[in-house]
Amino acid sequence: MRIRRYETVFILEPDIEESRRKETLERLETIIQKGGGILVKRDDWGIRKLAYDIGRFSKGHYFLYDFAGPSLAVSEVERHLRMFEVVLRFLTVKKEDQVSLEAMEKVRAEEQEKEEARRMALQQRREAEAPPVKVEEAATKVDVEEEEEEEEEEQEEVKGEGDEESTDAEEEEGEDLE
Amino acid sequence: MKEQRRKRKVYVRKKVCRFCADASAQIEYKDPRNLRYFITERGKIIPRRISGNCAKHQRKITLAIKRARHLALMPYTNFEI
Repeated sequence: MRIRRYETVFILEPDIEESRRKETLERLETIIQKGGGILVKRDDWGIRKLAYDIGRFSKGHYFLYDFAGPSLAVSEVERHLRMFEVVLRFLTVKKEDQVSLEAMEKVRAEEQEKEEARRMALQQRREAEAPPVKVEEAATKVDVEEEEEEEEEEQEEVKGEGDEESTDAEEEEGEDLE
Repeated sequence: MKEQRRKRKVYVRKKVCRFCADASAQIEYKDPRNLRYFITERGKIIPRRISGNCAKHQRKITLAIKRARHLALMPYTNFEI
């Protein structure tokens, strides 16, 4: 069977409980595996403002799943996304037309390593350069935002002093919501 | 005669497709910030004859914008302006 690489972005309701969100994500992952595919990368974009309201929501929690598998896996994933009530929107895009599962397995391992390294570096920098109280503040704010912005913010933390940090972070958040 | 020549020059201003000029620039539906350049304030897609893109890249941009719209990363319409 032909294995392709796909990318699915979906939006969850922003205000559901942590446990319910986790359950939904876990179920999707098992569906991918059952369909004969592997999950290469999972990306959490955080809660973002929607360009237009969907139902009663003006914000949504975005997730991106990068996976490889046969077309059957995709139809299964999409069928379930349609059934989950907490999913507002989804979109699947084909990224590569022919891949092997073994190669994808390698890519996944690499991605995991990168993720690990990034997390370690972030933690180290935080411990080394910011005073303990500020670290917590920054950490909670950063979590909601995108990865790109995380890096930007980190750089600002290096340059700026204590008080400026928090205002910078707030401004950035404001931009994001517009 | 002189005036006519000048007029013609204004119309013939040639635009270059920015994606052909810069091969590193990617067209991604996940990146609405770059796509925003190709829609009007109302949210409509700017035609090729105005944006200056080549056919190949205009098609990609159009597809990316439509995908971004579906995911509520970009507006279908914007009445506020």
